[in-house]
Amino acid sequence: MSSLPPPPISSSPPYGSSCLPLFLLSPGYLNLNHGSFGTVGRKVLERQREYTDEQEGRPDVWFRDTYLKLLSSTLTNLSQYLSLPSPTNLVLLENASSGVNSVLRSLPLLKGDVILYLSTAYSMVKNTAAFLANERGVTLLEVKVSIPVASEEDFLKPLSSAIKGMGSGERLKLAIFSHVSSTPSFIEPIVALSSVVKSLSPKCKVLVDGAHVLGQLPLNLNSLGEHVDYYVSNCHKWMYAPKGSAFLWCKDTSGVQPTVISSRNKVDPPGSGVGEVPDFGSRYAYTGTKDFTAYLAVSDAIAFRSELEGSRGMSVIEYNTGLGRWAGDYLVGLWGTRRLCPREMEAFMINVELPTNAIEEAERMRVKMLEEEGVYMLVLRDEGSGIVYTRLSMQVYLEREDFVRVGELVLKYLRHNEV
Amino acid sequence: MVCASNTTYGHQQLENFLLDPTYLNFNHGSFGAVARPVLDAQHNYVLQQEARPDIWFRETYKTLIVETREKISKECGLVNADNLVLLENASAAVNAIFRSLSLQRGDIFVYFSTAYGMVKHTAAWLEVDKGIKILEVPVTVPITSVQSLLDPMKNALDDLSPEEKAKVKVATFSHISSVPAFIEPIKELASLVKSVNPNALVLIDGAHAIGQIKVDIPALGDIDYYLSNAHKWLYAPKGSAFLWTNPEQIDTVRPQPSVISSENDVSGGTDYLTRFGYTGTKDFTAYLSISDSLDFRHSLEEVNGEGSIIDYSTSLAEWAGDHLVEQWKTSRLSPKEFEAALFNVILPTTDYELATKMQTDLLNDHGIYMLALLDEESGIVFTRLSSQIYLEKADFVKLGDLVLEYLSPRK
Repeated sequence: MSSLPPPPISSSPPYGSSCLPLFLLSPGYLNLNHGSFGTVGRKVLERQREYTDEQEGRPDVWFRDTYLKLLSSTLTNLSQYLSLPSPTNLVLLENASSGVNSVLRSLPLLKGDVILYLSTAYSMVKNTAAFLANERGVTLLEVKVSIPVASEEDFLKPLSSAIKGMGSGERLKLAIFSHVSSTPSFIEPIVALSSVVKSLSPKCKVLVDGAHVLGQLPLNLNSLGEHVDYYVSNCHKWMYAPKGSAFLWCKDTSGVQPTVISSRNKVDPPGSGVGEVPDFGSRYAYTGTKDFTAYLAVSDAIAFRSELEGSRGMSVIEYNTGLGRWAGDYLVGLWGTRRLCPREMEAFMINVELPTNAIEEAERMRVKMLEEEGVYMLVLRDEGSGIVYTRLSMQVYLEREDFVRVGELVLKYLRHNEV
Repeated sequence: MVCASNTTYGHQQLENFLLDPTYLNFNHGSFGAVARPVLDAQHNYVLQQEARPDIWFRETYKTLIVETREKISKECGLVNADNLVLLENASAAVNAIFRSLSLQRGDIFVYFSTAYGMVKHTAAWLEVDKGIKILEVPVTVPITSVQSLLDPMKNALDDLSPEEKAKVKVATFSHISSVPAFIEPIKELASLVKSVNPNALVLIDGAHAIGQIKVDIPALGDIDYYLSNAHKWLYAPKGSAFLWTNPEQIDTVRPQPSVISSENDVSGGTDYLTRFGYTGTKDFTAYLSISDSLDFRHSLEEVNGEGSIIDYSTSLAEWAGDHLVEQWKTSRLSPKEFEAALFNVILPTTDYELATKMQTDLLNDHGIYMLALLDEESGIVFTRLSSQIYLEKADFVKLGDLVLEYLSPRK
């Protein structure tokens, strides 16, 4: 392994450890895995608590009136953030898993219908599809994507082949794509993927699992909505909103039911001729009594983000993406390894091969780094290729120094094992 | 260990809750109320969660939740927590069960007309989606005895053809119905259903039960599912409930949560506890706080006697019911024995619109929240009131006077 001269740390980044007080992370805990569970902004959590206090002050008034009004304005704010003309086709729910389950489990799928997804799909998607295979006898088509990925063609070619290879009687009904996949984390070419699907199978709908997208990539659902039919994203991952906040957008909302049909969701029996009562938004606004304050705090998260960017004079996207480019290059050079995709396919999460191919050794290192250094990093193995790698998450509370430190620690722990 | 700062029942308990001092809450039953020390405990969990998120979700939470499940299982008379999972509310539990059943066209779902709207709507969805049939058994109010419930159910089931009887898939009964609120004879109802079809599943919607009445699941007889909200009567935070599944059918019927998650390998057969234990990233702290709400209640009962929360609320409800019935010259909708902390009293008016207006005016002018309701079938206009440890006789006296004053000149 070559040793590089230490890079210039950077004169004064607009973000970095000075941002830590804005969050609630434990001092001395270096969080390199923001991507798994997100972090809430301190101010956002404070606002959420204010909502709870109001809820508990006059519960009936809250659930029957106040909450619904605040939800409406939150949806308006979020729809504007997503460049949508209105919030009509937009609802909030607790997480992307709920959004995907919501769509999948309320589509009128029949035995023999085909659901397609890439091998890079999140395990929740695969598991939910498996549930449908049992429940409704749908056929699952998993399209293999080889890792490492060299270009968009590595997604598009296998997809095209897979669809063309389908039997003449098979009906492709739904294609599910990750906008930013999980492990490894790549930005997938969803518009191109959707085009392939729709050109070969015009009746097929496209559901995009954008769990990681809001806050990580610019997201214009108005233009994206031309190409896809359903879009889901978490707010608690990259938008600094509290846990349990996500959204679902549907081009056609008819028949889409939440995973929990509530007392306020009057589904009319077949043949009654009444149609869908109530509307899409109302079906999701109340799914039994629960804590909806996380949804409302999405509004506050948007405001928090805007204030943060205003005060620092650089967008979060620019900082995190830039840091990721730098950190990936640096670690690849230091460890003598590689990324798992071109740099342009990464945003806030980078995937760097570790200088070992033994997952057990890497796991031991991960545990030691946490116990001895308070560093949390993900250690993973790609089943198909056998590559052992780390997926690192950039964030405004991190800076180059943190990755220099991690780079050294990895070498220290792995070299120590070699002795 | 979480405990009450004030242990005297009555207005002094308001110190332990977050209710607005200008708000007189006669409808605890709809949305519950979290105890202040329990909410503080929940806040602490959130801080832990946010301090080291990966550690929380991958380790700490998974360890803490076991203790919570054990405590609530014990509270329900269960010998262990093996068949009990936590979820956000009764609606999630019913949806989980109903929507993961293996269903055929023509399978029959049975319930009373007094079933909660959520149960009816979810069944209606399955009617659209899967072609199930619904057998809704009418209950006439006021009810006079257990026979008012048992007879209609028995007759309705007996009237089914042999083919239909074989197709009875699930019967859902409320342990305490919502509106009006009655305690239903669960054991007898379950036996009735099983005698008609031993393979039928019996689901008990105990949404209102835990914390309002003693819940002893093994004593409820031949039932398959029991669920209850902790946020209604147990003083836990919003979004906390539990579901118990009969071990005999846990692996045959294989209930699935409403959200199939990354940790639920459906093909591989992930076990019941694991598949319900994680439904995507969310705030699980309300579940953990069930443990703290039990501790809170225990701290009150250590001073006031075991079972005193339920005793106080129930006897206050009984007194209040008697008082209002006498003052308003009306009646209840059931014998007293069918009521615990929730009780129903016919209002001194037959004008539902007026009663609704009164509900609004009482809130705006007096900060009082009471429910004005209409039983469609009988046309009876009534109120369903909730007794609580933060209420006293004087509160119901005040309510009685105000209602009479409001309605008398406008009768």
